[in-house]
Amino acid sequence: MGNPIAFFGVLFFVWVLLAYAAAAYGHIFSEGGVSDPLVILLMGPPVVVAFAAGIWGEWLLAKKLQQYSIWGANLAWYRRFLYGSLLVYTYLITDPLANFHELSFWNNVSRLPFPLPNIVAQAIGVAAVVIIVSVAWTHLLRFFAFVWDKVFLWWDQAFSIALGLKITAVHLARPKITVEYPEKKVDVPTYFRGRHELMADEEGNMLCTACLACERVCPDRLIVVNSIRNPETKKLELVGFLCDESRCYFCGLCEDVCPNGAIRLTNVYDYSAYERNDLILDLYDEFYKHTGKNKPRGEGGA
Amino acid sequence: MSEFVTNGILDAVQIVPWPFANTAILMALGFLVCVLFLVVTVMYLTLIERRLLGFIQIRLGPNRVGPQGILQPIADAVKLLLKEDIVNLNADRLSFNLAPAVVFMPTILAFVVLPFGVAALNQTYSFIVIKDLNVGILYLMAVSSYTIIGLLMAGWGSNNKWSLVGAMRSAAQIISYEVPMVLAVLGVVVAAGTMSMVGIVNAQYHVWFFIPQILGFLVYVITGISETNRSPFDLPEAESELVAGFHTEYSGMKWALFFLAEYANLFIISAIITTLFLGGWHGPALPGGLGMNLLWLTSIFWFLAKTYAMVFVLIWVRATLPRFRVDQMMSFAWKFLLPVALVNFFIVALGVAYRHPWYDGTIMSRIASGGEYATKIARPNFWDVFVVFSQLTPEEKAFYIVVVFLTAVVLAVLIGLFVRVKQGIKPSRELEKQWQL
Repeated sequence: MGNPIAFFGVLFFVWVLLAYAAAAYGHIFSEGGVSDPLVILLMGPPVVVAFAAGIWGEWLLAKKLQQYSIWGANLAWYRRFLYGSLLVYTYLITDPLANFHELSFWNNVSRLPFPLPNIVAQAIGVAAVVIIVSVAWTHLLRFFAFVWDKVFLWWDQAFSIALGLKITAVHLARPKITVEYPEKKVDVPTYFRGRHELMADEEGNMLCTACLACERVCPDRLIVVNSIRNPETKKLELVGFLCDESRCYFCGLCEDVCPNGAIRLTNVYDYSAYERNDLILDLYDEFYKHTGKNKPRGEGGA
Repeated sequence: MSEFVTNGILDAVQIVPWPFANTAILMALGFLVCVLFLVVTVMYLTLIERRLLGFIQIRLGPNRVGPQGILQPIADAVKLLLKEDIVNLNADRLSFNLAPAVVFMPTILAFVVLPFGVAALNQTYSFIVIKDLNVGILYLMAVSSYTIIGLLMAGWGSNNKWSLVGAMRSAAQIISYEVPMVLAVLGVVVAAGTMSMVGIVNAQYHVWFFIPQILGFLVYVITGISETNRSPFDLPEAESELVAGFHTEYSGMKWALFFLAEYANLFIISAIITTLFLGGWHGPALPGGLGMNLLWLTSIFWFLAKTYAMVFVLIWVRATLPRFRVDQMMSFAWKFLLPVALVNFFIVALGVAYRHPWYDGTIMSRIASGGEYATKIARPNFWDVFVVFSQLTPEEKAFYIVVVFLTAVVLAVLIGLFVRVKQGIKPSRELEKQWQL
């Protein structure tokens, strides 16, 4: 027989058959079941050989699967499988729970759950299995590879679902990014360009000198500066400053062009109104309300 | 289950002197209580789902009406009640108007057999259930199938192609998923030896059925999600394909009834899963821990805790998984779930044949403690399994050990999956590198 698997397979099956026969019919030869020497003689070696053959067969299968299976190419999986089998085999050989009569694995094996059929029929069956395996080895391998791939496909899918569930579970516990706006507000950066404001100097006096630079530079002509010339000092004095926030796109040119730093774009962004006219702000008025000073020319301006 | 005193709560109240100890009045009262419970539960399930989905999507969800949004369902209800009820001109008015009621009816009927708990009254155990039918789970299966008629009526009555396609999809889906669902339930029925919901819960005295029947449990959860038309099986109302499926043309309170039915089904499916697989009112420590007088409270607590845990899982799944394609949905039911359910049933049948205590829910009462069992109903003892084990025949012991070994394998796979997920690395990544070479 050219196929080593088939050759050792036959040896293995015959041996196991004999061992089973001894275990099942041991009571014929000795009082009260299988005698210990017989068990050691017949059960011990086939068990060891079976485990060795099992590990060797697994190795052969893994090597073959490399050719047929996408997943079989990964020998890491074979390694894990091998370690698992070694663990199981070690448990079965050492049988650590054998002292607990009920829990011993071999204790149950030695009492077969079915009457052993004709030993010749069984031998024929084993031979048939061996022949089939020898002939259909390639096809069986393809079948194994198919199952192998399916198992890993399912593994991959289960893994994907589990990973997705983990991700959503982690997000469940994450701090939320929602800012509850009216109660809490985001800190806007200092360079944010928002609502206009007229600035004061250290003594609280108006910085604006009504030079009209901002009015001229504004692309949409949204700023209107009202000023009158003081007949005594021959200087322009500010009496009103209007800014239309409804059309402003906050380019910041007015802020840049101002020689005194009198107009500034603040961080204030929430000043919506129900009517457009409410967004035409009287910054002059606001300045004196804010600083609490009296207007130099009294209420009503010019 | 002759060992158990299987009184329904109606019988229990008849024992207690009570001025209205009349079955008809009691049934009506129980029905009223159930409908009230249902409506309140469903209203708040909408809130729970919206908030949980919000949390999972790193936002807060509805929290403006009342503290943490607890008045949101009431605001929604007021809004929906005041909305205009539109019926389009070409609608089949009879089926269009009747459909929401037909969809909602089975969810109320399902409450008849849901066992909420057990109470110790007059030295007997009375189960908190409107009527413990001896065909309980069969009744549930029959009743829950009525939903599909309502959906078809809605789809047909709307005279709208989206509605009709949605209704046809839901019909195909529910009929397909009934098959694996019934097979998964069959495993439980065989293991419990009864179709009564109370009997099924009692049979899980030793071990909850989801441990030995993990495959059946998974199949039932998946088919349950499908039956409630929830994501990832929300094809009938797929908003990216069909506008809103069968309820496209509905508005106002009729529309709300569809949603009420959907969320009620969510609760009922969770309750059925709890009853069939998660041990119903049995709990690890609490039942009996507060004394037999408070048994009703602890048992109801465990039932509701497990049910809401399942509700959470279903919402979690909805937040995670994308929608199936129609052909994927059908092939998944027929080519995957059906064989898995059959394998599960085969294992259960083997387990019952070999009298495995995990699979044969009646074996504990027959072997473990004999007549004493009925008094220990709420005190599961894990070590009873060894008493049973010592009384098994050798082949049954061999089968027991094989089952434990297979369970260990399944556990190893699950632990491996868990470890992989913790690592967060796709297992195919190394391979993809190899292929690219």
